Amino acid sequence: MDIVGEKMETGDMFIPEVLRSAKVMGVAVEILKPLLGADDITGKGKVVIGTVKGDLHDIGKNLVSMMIESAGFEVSDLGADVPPKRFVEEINNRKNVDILCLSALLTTTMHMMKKTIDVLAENGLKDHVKIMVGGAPVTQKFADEIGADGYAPDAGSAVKLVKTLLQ
Amino acid sequence: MTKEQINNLSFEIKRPRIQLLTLDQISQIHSASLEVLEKTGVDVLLPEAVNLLREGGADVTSESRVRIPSHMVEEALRLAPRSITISDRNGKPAMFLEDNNSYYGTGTDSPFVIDSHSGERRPSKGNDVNKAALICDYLPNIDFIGCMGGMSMNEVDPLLSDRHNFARMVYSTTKPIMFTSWSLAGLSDIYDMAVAVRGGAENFRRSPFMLQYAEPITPLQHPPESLEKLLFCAEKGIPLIYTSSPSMGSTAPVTLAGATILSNAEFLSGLVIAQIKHEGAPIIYGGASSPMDMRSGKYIYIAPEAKLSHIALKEIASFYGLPNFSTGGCTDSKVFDQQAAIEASQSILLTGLTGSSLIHDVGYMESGFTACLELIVMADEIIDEVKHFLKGMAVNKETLALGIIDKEGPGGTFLQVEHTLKHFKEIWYPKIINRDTHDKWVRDGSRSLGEVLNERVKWILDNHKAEPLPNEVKGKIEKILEVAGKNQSSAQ
Repeated sequence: MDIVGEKMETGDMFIPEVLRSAKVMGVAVEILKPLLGADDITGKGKVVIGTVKGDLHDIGKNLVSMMIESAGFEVSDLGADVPPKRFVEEINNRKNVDILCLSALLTTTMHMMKKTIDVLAENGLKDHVKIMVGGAPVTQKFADEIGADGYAPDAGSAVKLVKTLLQ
Repeated sequence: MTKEQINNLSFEIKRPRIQLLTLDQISQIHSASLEVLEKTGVDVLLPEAVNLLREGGADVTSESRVRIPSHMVEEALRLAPRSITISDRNGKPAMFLEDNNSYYGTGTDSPFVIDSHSGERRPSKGNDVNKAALICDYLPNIDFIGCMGGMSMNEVDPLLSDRHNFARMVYSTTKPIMFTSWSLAGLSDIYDMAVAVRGGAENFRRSPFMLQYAEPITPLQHPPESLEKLLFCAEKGIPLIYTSSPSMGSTAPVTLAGATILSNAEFLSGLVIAQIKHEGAPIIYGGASSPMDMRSGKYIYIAPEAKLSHIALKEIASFYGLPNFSTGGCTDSKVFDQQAAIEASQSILLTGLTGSSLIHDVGYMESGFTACLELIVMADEIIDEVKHFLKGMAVNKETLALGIIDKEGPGGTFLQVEHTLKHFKEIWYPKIINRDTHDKWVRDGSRSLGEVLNERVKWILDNHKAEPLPNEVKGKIEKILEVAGKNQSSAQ
């Protein structure tokens, strides 16, 4: 999958091919599990992802979710229109979540990202997870203003950012 | 064919046209869309709309999944108006949305603008709305306006910016306005402003000067806020553009026919709801499929597939007899450059050839992220040229000019003849595109098209004054904004 990632970055592989490669990889790992050591199959990290409350547009989030999963991370996708409390619950329930990814397509739902981050802070979780934001109207400047740890303009960069934030 | 026969032809002017689908293909798409509505169904995420559909005979199996039988769609198509007239701010008819009449206008709500003074891309502000509206008010070939930019979070509560953007437009132009609203409350306030402008709800209903833009979400979902707007518009007689944007390969099948069926089914189900709410509710047929870029995941505005989609959707709209919504005069480029000029011009010509009714997004760059005033001014010139081109070629006794050909004969000249004097003004001349000699161009400052357009933008902004709204009306609008502000702060 590392080679697939590189090929995607150089424009030699396209998103549907990356997703199919990941699917094949998943099936292969299941078959090979008895032959692999525990170290070989532990996940690279845990990611929780969702589109913030009020926004039903989820294709960008779905794409990022699939791409992060393809890169070997354990992804918990909460879907679209996710209230801040639900993110808090998920992070508490799953334990050791490394990264939270928030998505919004509308300028009117962007402010819900800030609200979500504020609720995380109120629950003492903000410093325990790295927060990434993305979606059409989101910018690096906005990400900085609302206290996110990172912003990615597209799915490919989002995967790279997850890796960087976990280093 | 003899000369007499040619002279007797009734269609002496043939408009250049473009055709994509056969009637048989359109029928297949229609039937397939009906099958999707009847078998797969759509998610209708507002109880009032679900109830309307249930009472109208639809099959409601869960809280929101609604399957709509064909006869309901056919009935809605029968009830929908085939011709919609949009007036200007003063109530004078301005756009006749029917047949192949084409009208061009800008887009809405770009988060960024290219600043005409610094040349930099920066976040948009309230004043950018006024500027774009003023530019469009001046330009003869821009028929309707969208806010292009919008007020920033630093200027106003983001949940209120829809009302403010509308007020800024209505202050800056008399041209018809295509607007967006964030909620039913926002739409209701905007409607109240429009009623104040037209001096009463009945006057507004008779001569609406604005169109609400709302979207279903592909695949097959009608979100609550879009449905609230659809129902409100149907009730109040606000013309509604109901348009989804299937992303081929991500929110829709990767094939154009499959994506077309989705947007068609989404529109038709919206149409059914609107016609049940209010028979004859004015709705403009929308939709625009475009491929997702499988390298970046971005939705692309300019692609050959998107162009085919625009033609196909106009042909389907014509099959239904409905006016349609399309896209042109825009680009995926990041700056106002050669790519921008190529993409914007091509799309203007294509939408013109297609005969689409409302063609929006003139001046959009970078998939709608950025608004560019220079691009609007350039598009105005290209639209002018395309409108001229679309007049086609007249073939009749006068245009064949056989008499003077015979008179001048071999080696003759046509410069001085009466026929030339009479008809030479029928030839199109550009106002901005440069056809000068190199010497003259150098004497005039060796300016590129981009530089000329930038100067033009600045000149319009400095010199053009829009017809002001009466103070009394302005007072009413300010009052509506004030009350909305108070309600919003007390809600928080």
